[in-house]
Amino acid sequence: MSERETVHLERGFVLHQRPYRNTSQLVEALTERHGRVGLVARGSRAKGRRALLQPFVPLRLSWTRRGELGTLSHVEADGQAVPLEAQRLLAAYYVNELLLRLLARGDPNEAVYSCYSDCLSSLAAAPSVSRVLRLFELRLLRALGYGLELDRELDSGEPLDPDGRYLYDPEHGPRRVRDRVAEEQVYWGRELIALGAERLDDDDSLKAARRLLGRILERHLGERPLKSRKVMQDLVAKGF
Amino acid sequence: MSNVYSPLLADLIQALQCLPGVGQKSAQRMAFHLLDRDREAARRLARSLESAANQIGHCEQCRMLTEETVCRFCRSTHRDSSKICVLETPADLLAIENSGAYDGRYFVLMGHLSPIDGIGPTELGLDLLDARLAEGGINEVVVATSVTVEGDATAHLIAALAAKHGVKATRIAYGVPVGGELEFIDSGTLSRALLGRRQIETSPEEAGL
Ligand SMILES: [Zn+2]
Repeated sequence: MSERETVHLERGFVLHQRPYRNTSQLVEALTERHGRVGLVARGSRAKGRRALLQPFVPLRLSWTRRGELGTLSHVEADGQAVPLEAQRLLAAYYVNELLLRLLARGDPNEAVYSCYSDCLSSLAAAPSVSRVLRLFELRLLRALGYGLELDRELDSGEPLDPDGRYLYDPEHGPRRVRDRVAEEQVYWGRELIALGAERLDDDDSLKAARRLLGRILERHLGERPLKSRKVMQDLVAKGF
Repeated sequence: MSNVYSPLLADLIQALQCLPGVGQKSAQRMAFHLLDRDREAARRLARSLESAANQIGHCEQCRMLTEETVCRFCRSTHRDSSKICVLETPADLLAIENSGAYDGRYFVLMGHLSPIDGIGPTELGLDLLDARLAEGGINEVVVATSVTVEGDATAHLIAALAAKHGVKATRIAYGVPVGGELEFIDSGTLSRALLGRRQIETSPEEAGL
């Protein structure tokens, strides 16, 4: 029998929730010091907790846990809901789904938490949504121990040349190319350097970052596509 | 557990647990009641479930559950066709209907936007709503989605769709419930209520008193 864990007023955000056994909800939350947790909120509909148990609202959560799932005992707001509108809200759902897919329960990681809460505040305010998303992806990979090599060329160990052309080996890093390679696979040294320095200020480096991070994430996500991405594409296709 | 009951009884108890809020215990109670006390009701229930499951679909104009091609709300000639109220579930439709304060048409999304569950514009039938708005004749879309992050996001989509057709979109007001005392109302509801406040209308005669 595993130890009983009791946690008081832990900072966290709801990532997702779904109906669970009869009248309960299963809340997947990202917490500051306990990582992703699965918490059962008993009869949460009736108790009016539902108003609080929403994504993108900073919360304080208390629970007890023995085994895989905990039982939510208390929840209170820890600030105002992050104000997200339309496109930004969809981006925030994408971020939540990414976390659900990449994080296992019971694997505390404070760097992931601060990455996430920074991302939400930036999503509310920053001018470019795609820049916020790329930085989040980059930092999340780093926090999970899948950080990208963006400083040195693989074979020579030399610093990247801004005007050099590189192929990116997802396992190891950038490798200089001199032969003719399909253009869509090549990254300019300056694009990789910009990403490493989190300096995604122009369209070219943003596009390159999207291409590279997308490829790396795909490897970690496996075959199953992200549902929120499908919904986003559907919205774009329908002119929203 | 399963070998305590005969196979048919065990099946029935298992089947009843598909209902929300019904666990093992309540399923047992229901099964015993139907078999022991009211066999006729059990047969009626079985027939009714059978025909409902086979015949009920969605109204082709508003997506409300019905066994007719077009539901009675859409067929009625006494309703105001210039307004269309968009809601999440058939239960919400009945709630609005019972309020007696609305006499326009309806559109039932059968859910709300939920990107992580893969529920987007296609799943919510927004193509159909788009087509209804394109037909013309509607000058107000009354959005009555729930007051949650997802409900708000859904409201946004509907408003965008209405705007595309040059139709006004309104959202039903939320706030202090009738009989509600302020100190017991959560802060989210109160702030909505404050944001949505309206001028108190007084007639000149009253004001002069
Ligand atoms: Zn109808």
